[in-house]
Amino acid sequence: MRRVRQRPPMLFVVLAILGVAFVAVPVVGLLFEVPWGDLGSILTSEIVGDALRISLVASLLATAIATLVGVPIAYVLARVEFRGKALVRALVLLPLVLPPVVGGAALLFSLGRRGLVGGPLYDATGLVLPFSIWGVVVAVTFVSLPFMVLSIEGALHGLDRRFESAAASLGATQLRTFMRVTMPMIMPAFISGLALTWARAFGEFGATVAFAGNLQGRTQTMPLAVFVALESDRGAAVVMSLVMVVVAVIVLVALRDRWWVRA
Amino acid sequence: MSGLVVDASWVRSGDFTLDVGFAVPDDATVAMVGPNGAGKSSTIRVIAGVEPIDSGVIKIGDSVVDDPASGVFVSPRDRRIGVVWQDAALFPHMTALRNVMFGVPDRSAAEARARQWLERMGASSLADRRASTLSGGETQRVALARALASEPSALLLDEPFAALDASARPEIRALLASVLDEFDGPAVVVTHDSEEAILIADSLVVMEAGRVLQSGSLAEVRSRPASEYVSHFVGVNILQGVAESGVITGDGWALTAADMDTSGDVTITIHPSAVGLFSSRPSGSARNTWEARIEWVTTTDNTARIGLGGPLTLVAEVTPAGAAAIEARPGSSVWVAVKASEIHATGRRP
Amino acid sequence: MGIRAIVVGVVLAVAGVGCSAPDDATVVSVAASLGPAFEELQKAYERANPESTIELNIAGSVTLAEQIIAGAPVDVLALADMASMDRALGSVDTTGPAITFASNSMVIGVPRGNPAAVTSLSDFARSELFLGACAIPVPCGVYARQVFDAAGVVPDLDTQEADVRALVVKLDSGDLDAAIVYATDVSALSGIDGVATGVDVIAEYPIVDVTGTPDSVRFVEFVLSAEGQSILGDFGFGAP
Repeated sequence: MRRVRQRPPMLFVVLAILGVAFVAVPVVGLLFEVPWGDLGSILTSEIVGDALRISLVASLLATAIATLVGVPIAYVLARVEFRGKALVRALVLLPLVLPPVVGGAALLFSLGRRGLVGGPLYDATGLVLPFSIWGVVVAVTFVSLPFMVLSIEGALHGLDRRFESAAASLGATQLRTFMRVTMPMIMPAFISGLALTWARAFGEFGATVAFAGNLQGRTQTMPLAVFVALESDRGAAVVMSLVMVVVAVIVLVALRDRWWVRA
Repeated sequence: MSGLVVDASWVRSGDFTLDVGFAVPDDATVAMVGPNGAGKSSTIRVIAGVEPIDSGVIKIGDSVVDDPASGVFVSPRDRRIGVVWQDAALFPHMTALRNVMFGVPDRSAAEARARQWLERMGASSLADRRASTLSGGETQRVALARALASEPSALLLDEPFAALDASARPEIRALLASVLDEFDGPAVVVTHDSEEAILIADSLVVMEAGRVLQSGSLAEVRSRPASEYVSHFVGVNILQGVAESGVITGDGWALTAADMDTSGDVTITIHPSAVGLFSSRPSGSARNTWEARIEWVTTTDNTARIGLGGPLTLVAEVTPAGAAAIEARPGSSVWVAVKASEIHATGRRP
Repeated sequence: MGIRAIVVGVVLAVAGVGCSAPDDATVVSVAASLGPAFEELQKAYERANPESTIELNIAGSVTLAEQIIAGAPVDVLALADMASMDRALGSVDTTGPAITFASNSMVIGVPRGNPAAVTSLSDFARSELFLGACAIPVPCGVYARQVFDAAGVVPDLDTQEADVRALVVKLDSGDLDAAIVYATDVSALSGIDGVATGVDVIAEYPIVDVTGTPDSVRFVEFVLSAEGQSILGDFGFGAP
């Protein structure tokens, strides 16, 4: 089959190149700053290992939790009519516009040891979220959850309702309809929702530092380690940034090849 | 054994209110016809239970499935209605087999039952194909199998022929005719196509602007059409004859049909607009050409309908200008031509 | 490095467009912990010198040092630690030397009412308490380390925050039982109490006149004057 390459408008080509350059220049700048000679010793240092482990654990847990609650939230928003829905949607999406540090402070005042919910929780169970990996998970889930909700809700609105009607009249329960028909049909949106949610959680800084604190080996994620290192050891900061870039690119490219193109 | 009873009104969107009443006995098939936006698909949706009604009642068999006054609403999954949706709505990510298995009530026997139904619909070879890769005709076979495999007590089919190309229509029409013949519950078929309605259904429900304009058997509707749409719709010529190697012979007439592969007793339909009228003998093929007497002429703004006398009694439909060109008036004679490809034949139901 | 120069140039150009300071404004880069006090100093100075305009650029000491090394136009630089000042002076020519204009001391910050009954630095070894300090690279973290070293305490810290404000917020919320903060952080506004450390670690604040314009000279003189020192005293800063 002969393929004729489509020519995009020249204006778009120029603007697109400028846009890509806008993102690429800082990454290239980062590469120029990498102290290649010290790369090995920095990569194998305890700080980087600890931070990478905590970042991966927290971001993956956050993605799992965001899936567990974000998908039902999106379902209710897309499929159920109720009063105050616009308000609920705005509330769920609030972390998108809220400065993360403010979100972290709000978490502190609500889920902290003396907080509205955290206080009774501590008194009853002795569980303290701040200064623990669970605090990190809570903080990064808070800021990344809207990405899952947005992805799924958008896809549900775009899905022809007749497929769900068809499943219902074939005798399927709503849960079976969702798992067997709806979810498989919005799989590409779900996968990109996973990617966005995970990426946001992996790069989270403000809410984490405000809610969970910063201690190497316990709550210090990659972004926190980079931030501290920026003030003391620039080389280490750059290398850790590079690690984040590489991990993120690997994950996003892998997802793209498997799902986005096919979608 | 009380079939399907619909006597309901509901608001579809905005302030468009539908008010629909009709009944379908068990073992009977009703063709629901009417212009776009008349409320046909919406009626299918309330019977299926996808949308609730605002007042009135819907009954299937002996059970009430929707009755706002007494607070009864049976969810779609519990209505046991088999639906062939517009464009089929097969689950595109599943194979044909999985689609059919989805609705089988007995999960342990699902695969065996699904394969049986696919085989009865002539679709065994499609079992492992993804639904999104099926052609229009294949899709309809699988959709029929899926609806029937759910062991429904009523069948609803929303424009089952709309997505088919012309070549797939005759075989799916024949398949559907035999399926409906075997099905012993009430069935409703929404269609735009008068020939299909006439060939498949026992009676008609004509919808217009959210209401039932007219209902009854074909003969009843034809004798007193309630609107121009209805008269146009039921004005199709229907003839009984015997088919033999492409030629259908009736009482004092014979017509040649294209692509005829049935023989024996057949019902043939010819749309009035497919009947050509000429003031002198048309040149070209001599098949299906004869001279006839004009019995009557009725003219409206857009069409002229012309009744042609026997032995082959037909109605022709032409533009008013066309009628003027042949100086059509009762008593005059005219040359008639029907293309072989415009003659549709279906094996007659015993 | 070429690329770096380009990036810095672009950033500075954009920054220059962004803040439309009058050309004759005197730019004072000031450490975050000094911010509130310098806003008062700015008002008092502009009252006394109506023809002069002071522009405050408030950020962390380390960041301010980076900015001036990268070529940011600054007339006066006031920082929270000598180390950052030394770095800045190492690559920028100034008209005058760095002068210590204020001091601060370190205290044990506790939530109002001191619920965990923290009385001394030795409580920082108690693992059941939630304890914090600044991270080592920031000045308050360096001072905290000096405090612990002087007292011979190995602290069991739960967090090392990137700035002292984060510690104050977590003390205020009751999530931290104690943290090493500046004496100036303990005030009616911050909602935390202070407990003396018992060791003598003094934070010294250096100021330097970078450009030596008449206004910058006069502003530095004002900070060092009795009136300026009195304003700093109001915010809890000690004499140099």
